[in-house]
Amino acid sequence: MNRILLAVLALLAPLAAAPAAAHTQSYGFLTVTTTADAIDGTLALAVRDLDAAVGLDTDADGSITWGEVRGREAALAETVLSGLRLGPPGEPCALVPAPLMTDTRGGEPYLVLPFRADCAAGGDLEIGSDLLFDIDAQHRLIATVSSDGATRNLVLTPAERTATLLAAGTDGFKLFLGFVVHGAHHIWIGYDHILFVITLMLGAVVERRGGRWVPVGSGRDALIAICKVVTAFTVAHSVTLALAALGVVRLPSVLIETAIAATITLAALNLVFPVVTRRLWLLAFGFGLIHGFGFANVLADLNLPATNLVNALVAFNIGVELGQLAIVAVLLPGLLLLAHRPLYARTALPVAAVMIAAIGTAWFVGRALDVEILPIG
Amino acid sequence: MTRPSDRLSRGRHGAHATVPIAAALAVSLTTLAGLMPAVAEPVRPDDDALVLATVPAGRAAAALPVRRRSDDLAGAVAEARAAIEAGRTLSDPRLYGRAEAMLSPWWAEPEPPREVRVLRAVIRQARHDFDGAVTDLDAVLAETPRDGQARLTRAFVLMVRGEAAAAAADCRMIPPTAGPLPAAACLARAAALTGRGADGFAHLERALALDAGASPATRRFALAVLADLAAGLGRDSDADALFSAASEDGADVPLLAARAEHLLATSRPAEALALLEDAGDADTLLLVRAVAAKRTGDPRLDAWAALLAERFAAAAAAGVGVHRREEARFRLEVLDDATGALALALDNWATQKEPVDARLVLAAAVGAGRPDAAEPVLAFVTATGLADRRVLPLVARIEGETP
Repeated sequence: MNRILLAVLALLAPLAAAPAAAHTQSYGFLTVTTTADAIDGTLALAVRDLDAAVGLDTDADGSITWGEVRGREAALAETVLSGLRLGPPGEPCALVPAPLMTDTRGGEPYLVLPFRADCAAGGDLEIGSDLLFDIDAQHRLIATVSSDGATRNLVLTPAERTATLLAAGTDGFKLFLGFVVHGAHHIWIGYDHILFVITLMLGAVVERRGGRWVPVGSGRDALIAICKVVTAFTVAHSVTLALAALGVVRLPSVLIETAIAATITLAALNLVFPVVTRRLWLLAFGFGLIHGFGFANVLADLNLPATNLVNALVAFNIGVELGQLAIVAVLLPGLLLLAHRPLYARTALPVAAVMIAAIGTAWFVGRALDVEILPIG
Repeated sequence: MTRPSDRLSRGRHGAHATVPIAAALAVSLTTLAGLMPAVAEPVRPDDDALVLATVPAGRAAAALPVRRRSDDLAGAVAEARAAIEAGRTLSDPRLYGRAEAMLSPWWAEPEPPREVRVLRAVIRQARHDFDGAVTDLDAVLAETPRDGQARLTRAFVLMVRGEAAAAAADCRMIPPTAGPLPAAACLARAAALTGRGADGFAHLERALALDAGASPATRRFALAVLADLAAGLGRDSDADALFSAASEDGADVPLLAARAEHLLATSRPAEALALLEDAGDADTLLLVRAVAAKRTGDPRLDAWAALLAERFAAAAAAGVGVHRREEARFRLEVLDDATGALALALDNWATQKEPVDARLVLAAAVGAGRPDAAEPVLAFVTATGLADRRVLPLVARIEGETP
């Protein structure tokens, strides 16, 4: 008596037994082979699942025959392939079906649909499916992707319907470089991280004296102060990025995203209503820990190959640092020039801080409640 | 424009899932691959009359109704409940998946409506998320302590987790409106798990005799629990009679599996095979069949073993971990791989602590020559006083071997 539900169901209405069939969890199998200019694949779905989705028993006699399937083969193939997305990220290729076949997996009858796409798929590959997830929340699409002689496995679920496979370099350096680019790219499109770094820099070139912000001694002092906060931020987010990417710590992404927005607001408010006035790098470090988890979520998107996890991690982090350095390099000269003007500490700094705090707050509310307040970020 | 949260949530099936899955797949495939049949190439049938599958008749183009509208709570709950019931009767995991899909408008809410929460707990336990199930049931019972279904479900989940004392407390709080039998069966089972099977048996037997008016489903359930108690007490002929009585007007898959397991445990594998003839190929039944075939030298063993291996490999590839108990048993009793079985049995023991789980660890530890590995189970048996006849001989054997 090892199935608990025996108990519960005593309280529920009994149900007439349905015809015996295979009873396993619902799995779909996708096999994909990519070359530089084409994608070949097969999609295998259980007859029973397809029936639940589109109704295969045309004559409603309780038997799904090959004739019933063959009679509507074209429409069926089109419906199925329209639920599948394969191709370069954001540009799914048009998939052309080949004749349907059948086989048996785990004792269950399956329909097997081969397909082909003539499209450039030598680079990164995005795989997505909406098939069956809305009917069976436990459906899993098991994908096996072969490209450049390497085979990788991934699983699509109702919550994770899309995955991106980076171009498999047999060339390890190319792969490494790919992750560097992803890291840098992420900083560039991650307005929240940019804004946080800017906030840190704005505050680093002033110090609190007599209840007011005044410029730090010299340009050299300002440079050192900026180096300190940026380094502290970098070290901190590297630590949490590694912890999260290696699976030591795992936090829900909505929590992280909301917390990141909060760090921006708090760091900006600190410039208007100062709490941390000395050792700004401590604040950079503490908040940097939170930003690292955000980077890790992006890294998780990229479907790391298990064997190259550490390499990819290092490369991604280098990319993040390079991107960050570029921001610093762009802002630094102007900031060093401005910081010495009385206008900076008295007007420009508080105005900028209030604006940043407002943006951070809007993001915070938007992410916490899952609504879109600002068009970006 | 893309918000970072969109950016981050899009296709987030990266490092988190892929890495452990790849590892599990590698392990699983290397060991099971030898068993699987040479991959049958898909073919294009040439006979239009070929039947690919049988489904309930009278349902032409209509899909199973799927509710995604969040304004029909009552309808969604009713359909999900029916799917769960059918899923239990047939031991069909897909139907739990469909129930979950029907509840999807509320599923991810931290505090969904009470009815959804109870069903979410039931679905969670079905896929062995026992902690998640208990969390839901705790919340439901904190609000409505007299919810009999939630109470009974939590009692049985706690028993699976090896917390029979806490379970008994829940059994006692099942409201009388549920009738006396559910509470009696619940208490009897909790008693059996703490070495008081004889008391439990007498109590439940009396309750069954007194409550002739209970619904057939409830009586069937109580009889099945009683049959299992008898088997655990070594009262084999009582168990036979009770399993037979419980199956009188048709047995569902869990009951069939329990009855076949009893036949196996009492060295009647041929009868187990006969019982399961034409009973479908739910994972649990297929496993019992394979074990019975192994013992009787039935020629169908290879085909069944290959089928099981294929299913375990698919589950591993999908990152689905609910089959550890079954896979441990498969390795131990079908593949004679006690070492592999022991690892899985111990892994399973971390979440499931029923007598069958204890027996698996003990038998695998004996088979692998690793009596030391059975320590957590021995400690559990001592602490709870579990005296199940299917477990005790192995305990004695290991204690005899350990200096």
